[in-house]
Amino acid sequence: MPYTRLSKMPLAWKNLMEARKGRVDHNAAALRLSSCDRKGRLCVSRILTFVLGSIAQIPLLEANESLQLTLSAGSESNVTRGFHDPHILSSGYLEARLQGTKLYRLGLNDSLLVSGSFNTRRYGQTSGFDQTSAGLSAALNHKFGFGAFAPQLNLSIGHSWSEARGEARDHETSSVSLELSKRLSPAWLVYAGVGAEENRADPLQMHHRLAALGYDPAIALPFEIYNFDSQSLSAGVEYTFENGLMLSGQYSRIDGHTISSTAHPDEKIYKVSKAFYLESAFRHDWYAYQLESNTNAFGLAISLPVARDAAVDITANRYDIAAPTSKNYDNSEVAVSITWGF
Amino acid sequence: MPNCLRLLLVALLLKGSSAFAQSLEVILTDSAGAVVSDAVIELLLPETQRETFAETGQYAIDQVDKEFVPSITAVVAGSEVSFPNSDAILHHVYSFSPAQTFNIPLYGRGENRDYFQSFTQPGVVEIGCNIHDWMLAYIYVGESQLMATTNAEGVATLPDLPAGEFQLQVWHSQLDAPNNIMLTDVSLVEGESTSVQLALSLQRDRRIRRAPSANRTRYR
Repeated sequence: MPYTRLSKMPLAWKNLMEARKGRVDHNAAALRLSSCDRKGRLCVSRILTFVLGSIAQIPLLEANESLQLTLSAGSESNVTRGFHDPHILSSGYLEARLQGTKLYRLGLNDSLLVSGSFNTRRYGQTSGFDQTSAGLSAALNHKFGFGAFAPQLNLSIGHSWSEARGEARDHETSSVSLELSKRLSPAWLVYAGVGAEENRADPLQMHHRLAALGYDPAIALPFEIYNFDSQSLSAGVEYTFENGLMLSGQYSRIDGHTISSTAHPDEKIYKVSKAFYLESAFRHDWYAYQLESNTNAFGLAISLPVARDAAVDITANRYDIAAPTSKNYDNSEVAVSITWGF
Repeated sequence: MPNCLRLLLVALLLKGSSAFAQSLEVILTDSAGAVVSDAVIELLLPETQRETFAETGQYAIDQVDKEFVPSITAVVAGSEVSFPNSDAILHHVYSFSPAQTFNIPLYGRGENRDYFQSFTQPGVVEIGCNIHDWMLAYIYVGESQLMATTNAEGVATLPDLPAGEFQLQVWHSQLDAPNNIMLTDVSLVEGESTSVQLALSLQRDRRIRRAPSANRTRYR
C-alpha cells in the first residue's frame, strides 16, 4: 500500500524532529503535515510524494541505478545575510550529500529519472544554521538523437523537506525546472534553463518579544519567513582537458526573496520586510526577516578526477543580493568536495 | 614412383612452404619517441591475393563496468561481432559510422548473447553507448587477415606473409591524418624478416569525462 506508507513519511519525519525539540504536540504536527489546508491549495507535498515514491517502487520496469556521495568542507562569508557588522557572520561548515537515481528508459531517446537525496550541513561558528534536508525528484529527459552530442531537454519536478535548528527555518520546497544542454565536443558542454520554487513553512506562533518591539501594534506582518516563491534563469559551461580536469562556470539570476538576520531590528527594517519573526538560530535576541530580492549568483569550479568514478572539486560561489527596499547584501562561498559515483 | 616425379613433388613442396615465409615487424612511436599501443596495422594486398587471407570469424566486445572490452578489435570483412553485457545495468550499443550503422537497443546482463552484427565493408566503426556517453570502442574492418594491433611496447608482428611490394596501412584513433590512417610502402624480400619503425603524429586524446562532479549531479 504505497500511498499509506509514503504519505506517513513526512508526518513521521516531522514527528521525529518535533520529539527531538521536546515538543510532542501531535495535533499540531498533524496540522502542519498538510500544506493543502492553507488557502485551499492542492496538497502538493502529498501528491508529489505519492507519485515519486510509487514510480521508484515499480518493480516491473527495468532501471539503471546510480548513487553519488559528496563530502564537502567550506566557508560562507555571510551566513546571516546581514548588511553590516555585527550582523555579518561568517562560518566554516561540513556537508554531506547522498543522492540515488533510478533511470527508466521510456523509449530510444526518452528517460525518466527518479532521484532521492539526503543532505546535511553543519556550521562551525553559526551552528544555529545547521540544516538537514531530504528530497525526491522526477525528471523527464529527451535526447534529440543518439549519442553524447545530441541536445538534451530535461524537465524536472521535485520536493524537499528541510529541518533547521530553529522552527522558523523549517520549510518545504517544491520546484520545477526546464533545462536544455548540448555537448559541443568531448571538451565543451553548455546548458541553460529556467526554474521556479515555492517555499512553504509551518505556521508559527505569536511571541511576546514581537509585540514588545512596538513597531506594529496589530502585528500585521506574517511570521512565516520561509513562505516565498522565486523564479530563476541560469546558464553554464563546462570545459574538460585531456587529463580529465574540468573547469566550469555558471550564472544564475534569481528573482525571489532573501532571509536576513539582525540583532538590532528597527522600524525601518520592519517596514520593508515581507515577514518577520524571532531568529531561532541563535540563543540571544536576534530576529529574522524576509525581503524581496534579486540575486546574481556566479559560480566557478575546478574538478579533478582522482579515480575512475571519483573526483575532487574546488568551488567558489558569489551571491550579489539586491533588495530593492533595502541595502544590498552579498555572500561568498568556497568549498572543497570529494565525490564518489557508484 | 619414377625418380623424376619424386623430385618434382619435393620441389613443389619446397616452393609451397616458402611462399609465405616472410614476416613483418612494425614498431610505432609518437613524435616524442613514446611507444604507441592500440594501433592497427594491415598489409594491403592486391585483390587477386586477398582470397587466400580472407578467413572470417566471430568476435565479442563485452561491456564491463560501463566500458567496452576490448576497446580496439580488428576483424576481416565478413566477420561477425557480438556485444554481450556483463554489467548489472542496461546498455544501448550503436554506431553511426559509414562502414556499418547499427543499433542494439536496451538490453541487460546476459541478454543478446546470440546476436551477432555483421561487418562486411572495410573501414573503421566507432561504437558508443546511448546511455553512458563516455563508452567508446573501435572495430577495424580489414580487407584480409593480415592485420595486427600494436601491444603495450608499440610492436605488432605479421607472420607468414607473401613476398613482394605492398602498402602498409596504419590506423590509430588519435592519428593526425585524414581518416586517422597513414600509408607507407614496404618491401618483403623472400625468405627474410622485415622490421619497420614508424613515427606517428598523434592528436590529443579527447574522451568524454566519466568521473562525477559535485557541481552537477547527473546519472552515470
